[in-house]
Amino acid sequence: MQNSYYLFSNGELKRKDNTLRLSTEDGTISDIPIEKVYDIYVFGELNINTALLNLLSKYKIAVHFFNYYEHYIGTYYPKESNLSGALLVNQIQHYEILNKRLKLAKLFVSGSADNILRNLKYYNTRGKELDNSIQEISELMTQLSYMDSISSVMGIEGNIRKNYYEQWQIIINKDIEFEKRVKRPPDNMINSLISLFNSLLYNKIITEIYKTQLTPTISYLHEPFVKRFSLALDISEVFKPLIVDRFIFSLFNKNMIDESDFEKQTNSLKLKESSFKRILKLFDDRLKTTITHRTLNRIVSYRYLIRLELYKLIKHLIGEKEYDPFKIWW
Amino acid sequence: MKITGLMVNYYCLCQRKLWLCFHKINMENESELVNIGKVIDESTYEDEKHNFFIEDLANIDYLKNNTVYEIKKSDKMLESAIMQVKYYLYLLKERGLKNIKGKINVPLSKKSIDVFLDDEGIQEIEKCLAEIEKILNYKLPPQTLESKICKSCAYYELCFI
Ligand code: SF4
Repeated sequence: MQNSYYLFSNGELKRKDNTLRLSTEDGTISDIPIEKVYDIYVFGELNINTALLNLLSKYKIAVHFFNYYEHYIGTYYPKESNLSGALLVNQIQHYEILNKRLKLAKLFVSGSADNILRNLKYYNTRGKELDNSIQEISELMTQLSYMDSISSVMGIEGNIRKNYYEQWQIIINKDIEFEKRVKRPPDNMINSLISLFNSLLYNKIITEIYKTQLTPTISYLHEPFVKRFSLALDISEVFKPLIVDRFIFSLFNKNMIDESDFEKQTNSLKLKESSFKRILKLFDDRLKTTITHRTLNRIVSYRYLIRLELYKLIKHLIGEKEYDPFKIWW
Repeated sequence: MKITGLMVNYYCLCQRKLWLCFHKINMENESELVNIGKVIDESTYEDEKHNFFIEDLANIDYLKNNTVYEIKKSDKMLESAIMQVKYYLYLLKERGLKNIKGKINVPLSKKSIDVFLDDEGIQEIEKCLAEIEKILNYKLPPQTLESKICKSCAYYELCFI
């Protein structure tokens, strides 16, 4: 089993034969055999060199970098070794032909909305008053089919998310000021967790895309090139409700986090380092959660669900089987 | 069209796999099977190892005493390996090498199979090459095989999701 590695220390990461050697400022040295590495997340200040990048390329390992504020800076995405020309042509066609693009954009939004509704219904049966929101979001979903431009599909998506976020104060058993999503800078605990974990999910998806022949820069719901890997943004819509939102709900509702885990920056909140490490570990465990897949009849992890989603997209793009977005079925 | 030994092998195994592979929709080599293959490749016949290429169509494990050797990691799917070796013999014959035979070794089960190319075999290969061209020109991949070999195939998830 390969793992994601999260590196917090300052120091040096280099190649030592076929292992990665991390030497930190305080003198500790740890070796990680390269076959054990799935992808790497760097939060500390690291010195790296070309020999290291060579090794990472050889084993096709993506490295995601974050700055001191836990903001994503960028990815070392080793050169594509297995591009499929035929798939690339199809990926572009589905972008260029408006009807094809609209179809996919709507599928991403409806997939996302289905999973949002699943979350709302879950809490609704647990005594939270969410009937109105469930109805409103369902109505927004039916409007989706009439939309004839990407921006109007995006608009529906925005309204669904807005309505959903407004319910978080009901879902979360805590008295936290949270009415709307504020991105830059996130001004309260919930906003700062949403920013952080949406961004980590985005990185997880980049890693998965890299393991397929899909090109990460061509996307359908999001405008390509808004972010470099905009296809990851499309896919993340479908998985946020399962992987990020449910995670944040359980952090609060199971009392695994509170104000003391944060420290105040000038005008935003940031997780303290020790809390961050602890919560990151929980998030990583969550991605390793397994379920039995209904159609494949195999045990798969949440992380692997993302890969399967990409396979479905590939099949849609080559015209074999229409994309059917992942739905939480439990 | 350039048809490689591997393509002939895949054609006998699964036409869908042939199509996917030709269109460069490859799978990550994560599965255990692939690793075993690698280990065998690196540890067996160390001293005799001598890859022999026929242009970019075939990579023969080694060629000695007028014999083409092909090493396989298991004796499952031998049919397709036999066709692959017949194709090597066919390619060599086309290039003027006569009286060559083939041998498939399966070190794990200490098996060894002789392969010859007779007139019937030549016809078989030519039919197979024509079929391969046809399949690769399909717009869509051929249907899934729904066979028990799918369970250990790297494409399983892609095929059945
Ligand atoms: S899973 Fe089955 S159908 Fe798919 S490529 Fe493999 S053998 Fe062929």
